[in-house]
Amino acid sequence: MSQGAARSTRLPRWGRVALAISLVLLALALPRLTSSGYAINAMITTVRWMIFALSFDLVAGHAGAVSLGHPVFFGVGAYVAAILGPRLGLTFISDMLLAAVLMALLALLAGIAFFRIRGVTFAIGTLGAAIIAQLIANNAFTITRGPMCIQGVARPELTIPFTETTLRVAEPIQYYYLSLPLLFITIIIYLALTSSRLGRAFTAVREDEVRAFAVGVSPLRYKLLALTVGAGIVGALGSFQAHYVTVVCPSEMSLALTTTLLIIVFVGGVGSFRGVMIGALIFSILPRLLEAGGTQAISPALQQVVYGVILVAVMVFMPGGLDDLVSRVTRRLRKAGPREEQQP
Amino acid sequence: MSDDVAAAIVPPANVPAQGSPLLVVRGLLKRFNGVVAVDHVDMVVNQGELVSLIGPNGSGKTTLFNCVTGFLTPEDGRVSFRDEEITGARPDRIALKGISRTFQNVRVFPGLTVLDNLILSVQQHQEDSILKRALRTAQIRRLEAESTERAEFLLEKVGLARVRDVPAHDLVYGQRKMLEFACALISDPELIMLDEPAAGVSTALVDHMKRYILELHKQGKSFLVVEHNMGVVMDISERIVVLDYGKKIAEGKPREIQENELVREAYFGS
Repeated sequence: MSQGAARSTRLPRWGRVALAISLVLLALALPRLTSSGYAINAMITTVRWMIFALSFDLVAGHAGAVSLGHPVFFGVGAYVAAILGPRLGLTFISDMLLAAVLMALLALLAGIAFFRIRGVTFAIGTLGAAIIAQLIANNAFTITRGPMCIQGVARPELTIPFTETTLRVAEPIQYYYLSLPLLFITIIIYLALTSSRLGRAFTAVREDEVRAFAVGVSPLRYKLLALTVGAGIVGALGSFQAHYVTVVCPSEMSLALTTTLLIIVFVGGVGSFRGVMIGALIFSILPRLLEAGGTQAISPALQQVVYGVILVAVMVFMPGGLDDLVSRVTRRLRKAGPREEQQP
Repeated sequence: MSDDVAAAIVPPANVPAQGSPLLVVRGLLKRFNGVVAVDHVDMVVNQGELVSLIGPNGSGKTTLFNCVTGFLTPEDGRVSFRDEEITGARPDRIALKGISRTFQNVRVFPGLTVLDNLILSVQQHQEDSILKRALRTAQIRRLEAESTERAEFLLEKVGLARVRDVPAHDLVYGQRKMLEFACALISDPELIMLDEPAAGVSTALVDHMKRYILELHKQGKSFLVVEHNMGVVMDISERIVVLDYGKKIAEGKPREIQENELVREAYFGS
């Protein structure tokens, strides 16, 4: 990552490759270590939040536009799978692709409109859009069945290439393995867009739009790129979610999702791949720990309080998020030599 | 002061044309809430020329800069660069046509390293396919290597080689100034527009920058410089344009400007 170059915590190339391979192997092996459906559901949730947060961070962390309406693309993506999918007779994969394409187009239109406003006003504008979208989902009864939800979304059926067999996906572990390719694709896209030349251009747009213009970067173009790609990814994820829980409700685009996204990204480390992944991991596991093994030791309302306290504490004591903490710790461990003397 | 007086004092015929006109500004007008910031200004920078733009604070120099580089849209008048009209074009487009600029209040990207700041200033000029960039093709890798080489050459030139990998927000003011200056050069632009390059910079650094500007000028680069430091202006300029209250009140060689009554009046009020 371009910003990463500034930090002295980068692993050498072989180290990063080795780390990536072992993490992929771990992700593949993880469900084999447990037979508990609860644990596997927790893994699916974790993967889901990783995809969700990475797609959000493309916009918030790299294009520097904190959109509070990100879950709208998730919810509408889920509705695309539930409403359009069966009518068009689409399969699981083509459903996801359709949701991705439609959400990217929706984001393009929304972006052209919303990127005319900046900073806090942009955040408030997208918040308004999210509220409106949820109102529509709740009240357009003939289309979405409102709070009654659309039920009975088909479970995925995959035809295995070169054979006649069709695999009916129903078990959590199967869903887990279906979600992994989506995560890997998301990671590849995220890293491709945020490193090297594109990463530099995104940093420019985020840090100083005026200066970005002066070096030939069009801020609007890069913001639209981040928003359309982010929306496409999360649209596909919404479609996956619809096929997983088989029910689509207006709550799929609720602002509670926005809150969690903000917490994951800002506590983890905004604009940092490592930070976002750590944040998603923690905030997928934490609610289950707070539930203390399913006995609901802490009520959901109190859970929100715990989240709030964590968010405030992180913002006050380590504005760079957990990623920054990790950097500082590794730097200290390596006892990196003092930075080169600067000449005036 | 009436327009007639200004016109009488500024005989455009006195201006020797070196090469063909590179940047042509005609009748440029820009107002802010009714206050005229740039008042029908005409000016030319010829190919290979070093022109300075001077005037008291608030005389419209930076506004003119911003109108030329697309950061402001003039209400009237035309700007053309290499015989192509660029009035009201987007600033990123104008930058890519070969006009680079610096800012009065020094702008570098604080979160990028010194090297990344430089490469970013040239990468947009090289290719423009987002897909190629995402896939990091062989062409992109070659361009990155070339840009790095060029950046290192410039860092050597402006004395920043030792802080190559330091994030720009860790630089002191003078270093940022030199970095922004180097960023304005790396894309090999036709016209380099510097907004107060010497402001807030130590005398030694000013001398260094001055020498480098003159060296580039000798190589045929064209400059338009806004500067308050008269020592620098008189030393480097071939031609000086003076603005006061948005109007061009004089134009000529350094010595002619020094002797000009109107210019003295504008600066010292007597």
